[in-house]
Amino acid sequence: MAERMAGGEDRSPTEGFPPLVPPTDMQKPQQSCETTGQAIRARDPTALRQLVEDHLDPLFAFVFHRVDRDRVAAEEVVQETFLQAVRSAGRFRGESTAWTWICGIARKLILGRRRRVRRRAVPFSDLLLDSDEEIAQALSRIEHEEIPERILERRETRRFVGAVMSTLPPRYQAGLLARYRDGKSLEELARDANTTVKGAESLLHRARRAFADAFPIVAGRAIGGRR
Amino acid sequence: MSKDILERNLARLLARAYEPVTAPASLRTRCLALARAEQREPRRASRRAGRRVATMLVIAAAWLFLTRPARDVLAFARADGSVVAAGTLVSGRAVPSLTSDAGDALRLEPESVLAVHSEAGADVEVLGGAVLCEAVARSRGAATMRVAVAGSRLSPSPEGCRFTVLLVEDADMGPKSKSWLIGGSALAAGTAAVVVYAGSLQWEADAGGLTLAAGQTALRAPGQVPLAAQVAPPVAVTEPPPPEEARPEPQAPIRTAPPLSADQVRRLLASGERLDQVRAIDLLLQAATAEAAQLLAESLLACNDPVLAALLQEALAKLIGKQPELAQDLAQVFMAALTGSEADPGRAETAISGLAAMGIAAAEPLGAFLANRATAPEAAGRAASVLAELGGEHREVVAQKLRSGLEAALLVFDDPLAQDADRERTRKKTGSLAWLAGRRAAAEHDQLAQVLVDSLLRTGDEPQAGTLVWGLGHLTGVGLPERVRLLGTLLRALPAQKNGGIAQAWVRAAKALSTGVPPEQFAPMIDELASLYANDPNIAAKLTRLRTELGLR
Repeated sequence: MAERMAGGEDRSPTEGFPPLVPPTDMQKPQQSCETTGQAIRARDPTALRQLVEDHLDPLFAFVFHRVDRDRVAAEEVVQETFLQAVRSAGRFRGESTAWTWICGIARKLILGRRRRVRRRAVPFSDLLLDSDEEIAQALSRIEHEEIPERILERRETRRFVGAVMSTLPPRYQAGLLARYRDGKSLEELARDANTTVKGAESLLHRARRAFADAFPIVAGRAIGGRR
Repeated sequence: MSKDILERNLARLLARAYEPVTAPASLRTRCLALARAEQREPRRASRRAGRRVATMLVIAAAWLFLTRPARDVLAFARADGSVVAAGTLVSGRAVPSLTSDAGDALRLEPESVLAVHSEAGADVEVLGGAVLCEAVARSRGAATMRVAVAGSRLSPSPEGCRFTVLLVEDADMGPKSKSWLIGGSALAAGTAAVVVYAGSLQWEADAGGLTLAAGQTALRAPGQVPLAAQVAPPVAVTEPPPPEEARPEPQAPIRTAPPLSADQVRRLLASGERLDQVRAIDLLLQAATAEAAQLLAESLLACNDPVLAALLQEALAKLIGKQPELAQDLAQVFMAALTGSEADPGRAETAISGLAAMGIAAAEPLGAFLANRATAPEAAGRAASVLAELGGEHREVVAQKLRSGLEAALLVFDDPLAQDADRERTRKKTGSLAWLAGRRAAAEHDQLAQVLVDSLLRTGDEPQAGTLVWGLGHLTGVGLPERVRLLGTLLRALPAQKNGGIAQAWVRAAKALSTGVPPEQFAPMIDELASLYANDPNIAAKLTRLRTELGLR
């Protein structure tokens, strides 16, 4: 279910909202998703290059956490994903965002790879199976209780946060990082993303929601899986 | 309240427990190359435009057909036979091999990216990683497969050529090493290296050309700054040039590189940056000392990178060619790795590949290793596998090593002080030697069968005899005359064999050798023996069993 969240932005009420990009790229002029979709469909070289530039890091993180944190395997899948995306760009209908589209390609490749290496599909929730229940409990109550200090120091927590972040659309990730890690104000966020303060606030709200929803789902499953 | 807690938790988690995962620079380069290659593909803006383009293409095709150049255009297909369209970018991970309609073969390393009929005007263009190319021989006048790399072109000779092209991408280099290696200037399209295994090729670049023959390696395209010059720091222009009349003759921009210590070279090899590694290998080849040989061997043993391993193996082969006396030093390093590699099969495999790269130079130490009583059976098996892969021109050497290995094994069974563990180890080693014989080409089987039969006739150990018979059974290439001769040898020796188990092994050996031999060629021998030993019931029983085994009445 957590994986489905990546596609959740399809149902976003503000589909035309300019996508947030990682902080270093925030000054770049943004295109609307529709425009981007048309350009990709038309196999516009600039759009394809932009597709790679905008999605490489998030896609790498997305894949990395789904191939048992194997960097070599992640590189293989990501390269093949972009190869397939470039080849089938003409068939990109633009009904979903580019992120959802390439994640779909990557998912198929990951599943194919698992079949090839004859490994069982590792559910995302298994991430916590090697950690203790205390972490799962703490993270599942992220909206209700302060996370204890000792939990923040745990290696499993870091892996879990990385994995959950990787399920979010890139603009949600960028928004959360800019606001909560880099401490940017809403005005700065809006300016960087070339939108209004209201728009930035709305995006942050949805990003927080997606992040918070992922934790109890995954943590709950992990707890249930052990019982 | 809930929002406040969530925001606080988010801030703490993202600030303290979030480790961003970013794609490596090399992956970025490769993926951007994929997007760039798409620029070469025709766009499909609309159906009408498509029809217009199709019409134009038909006209263009007709025009191309009418005014076609003399050179044939090669078509490339994947392993499943599907044709790769011109302009397609091929990733080594997805497509490990391609074959041209002329029979040329391309084997792509997983990291490699290749463009088919790219804008470079060649049949294929290597855009990243390493590609093994096998250009088949052409009839006189027919053009061969042309390969573009780093703005230069490789043209194999019409007699055919087998070579590897390696492109070190610009993005793979750190700014520090880039500045250090090339004196602050920039590489436009990466650095290419070519290794030729068989045949020859011409490497052309804007700055000139060079011919590479079998066994030669070029670590840069013609005109690229030589590595020796790359080592030297850039020359600061602080003084006016000398007057015209005093100016010395122009010289090649090669300057003496400051000598590097073994540690520095080791660090270069371990740097993870291809250009550093290539440079270190170049320096070791120039040095060509025992220390350099040892460094190459140790680096190969510690190497997990297939491209670097291939470069190191090539360098080892070149070093042995240049300084044959280094073979012993090198072999000792690999042998030590083989001996101590029980817990590390990967290291053993690498040691074998290192020995294999040494070729015939490794035969002598390998033979001694096999004959050594203390050699572990697993290591002996790996050593045997190297001998098994030596070329047919070394058949005499292989047969001699097989013989010395088996003779050493026989001595163990003759030694009254040998322990049970020694004998057990020797039996296993005999298995490796028998296996080695079976792995050699059929043309060598006559000679190797003789070696096995000689040992079979001398051994007093039943399990060893059984293993030797098993080895004989795998020598399917033994010719009819040799089969008859060896059968005769065995039959004549059979009556004198007192050990029932060994005699039974000989009978099985005779059966194996009789395959394909008409019964009339050996039946009279058995009849003769039967009449000679008619009064000896034991021998009569053996001969009866033999007749039964051989299907004689």
